[in-house]
Amino acid sequence: MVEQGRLSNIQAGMLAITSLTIMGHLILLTVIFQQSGRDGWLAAIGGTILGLIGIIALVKLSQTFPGLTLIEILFKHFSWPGKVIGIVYLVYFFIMVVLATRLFAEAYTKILNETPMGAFITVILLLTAFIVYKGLETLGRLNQIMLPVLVIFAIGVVFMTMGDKKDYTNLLPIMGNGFSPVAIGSLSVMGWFGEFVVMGMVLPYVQKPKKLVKTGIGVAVVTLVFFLGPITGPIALFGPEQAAKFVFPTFSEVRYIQAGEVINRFDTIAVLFWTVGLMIRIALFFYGLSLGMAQAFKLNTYRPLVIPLGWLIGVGALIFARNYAELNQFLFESYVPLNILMGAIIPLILSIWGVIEMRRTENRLS
Amino acid sequence: MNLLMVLLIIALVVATTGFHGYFVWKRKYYRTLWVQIGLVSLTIAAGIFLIYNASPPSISGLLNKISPF
Repeated sequence: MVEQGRLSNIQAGMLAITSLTIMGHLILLTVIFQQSGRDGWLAAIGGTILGLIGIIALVKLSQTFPGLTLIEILFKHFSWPGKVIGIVYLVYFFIMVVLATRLFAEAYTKILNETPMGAFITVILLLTAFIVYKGLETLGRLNQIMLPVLVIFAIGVVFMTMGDKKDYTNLLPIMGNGFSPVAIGSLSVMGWFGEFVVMGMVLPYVQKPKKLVKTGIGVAVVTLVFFLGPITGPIALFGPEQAAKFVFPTFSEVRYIQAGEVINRFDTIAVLFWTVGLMIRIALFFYGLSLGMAQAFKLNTYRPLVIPLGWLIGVGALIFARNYAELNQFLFESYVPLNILMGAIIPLILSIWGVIEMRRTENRLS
Repeated sequence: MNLLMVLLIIALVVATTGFHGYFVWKRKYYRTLWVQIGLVSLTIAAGIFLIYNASPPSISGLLNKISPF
């Protein structure tokens, strides 16, 4: 086995929560505000229910082939179409890790605008390469320490932004523009939950695989709860039209916090979220890519691939988009269909196909 | 200047991955070595494109073109 580490179900769930939540805060909010406006919270609930399709399909696939990662399942049990899909998944992991690295650099250049993007990419890749090199257990434990800290800060921010400035009547009327904006927004949220597919590389190393359905549903519910605050907050504070114009709406919201006369620069909290959240997310996809590649090429270990892949991710992040406008276009046009395909449709087909194949094999043996 | 940058990226890539490559070669894990060489070559090729500003199609641009939306 290429990976020797073990994770508890809670650690695996926490990894998925951090990875999904940070992406939701950084990019999905803008997409949802523009697609669903004041009904974004409804889209989030609908999308979470739809997102469970991909999550449960992936978990069932993992339970059908215990002890095997997504790439191993595809390469060993699905003949040549499996190998093709496996390579597509490796490309997908690469795109996702490159996207997260580029977003990290883009977010930081909004604050430190004279520092070249390459500097931020180097810093985050050095850090995540070290985490990936140390293995899955290190990643799981690091996240187990960091996520509660982030949650405490997030609860603090929620309380500090509550006040007279927020007007929750901005969320009314419910479905004032009809059902279609909510439906489109729900699909975007469903696509976002499609990123859970990276857990296909982690689930075989979980201690209690039988309880994974419960863990998956728990991840979806907790992620939704973490997402409802940021999706309603900027609309209550700025109104739906203004909120949709922000590049990073939560960042703009946090900047409005004032605690007394002196302490009023709370934007560092938002930066803390970005840094820690994206670090975990990049490390998770980087790990999935390294492990998947090692398993695809039948190597003994994934560790010798970490540094070469780190270089490739770094260069990839620089050529990912020419500017932020192109990146934004990607988020609106390609991110959602790509994730729905890779995170819901393919796992669902594979899950059904896998169950049929297993039953056929059992019938032949009996 | 561009040539110096290309030499610098090649030197950095080789210096950082060289140790891994050397130990992999010494233990006779040739398949791992070939994968490493492939990744490093791809990185250097992409790096040269980037340095010479050859405006290669960006990854997001390519995906946007094949997107149904």
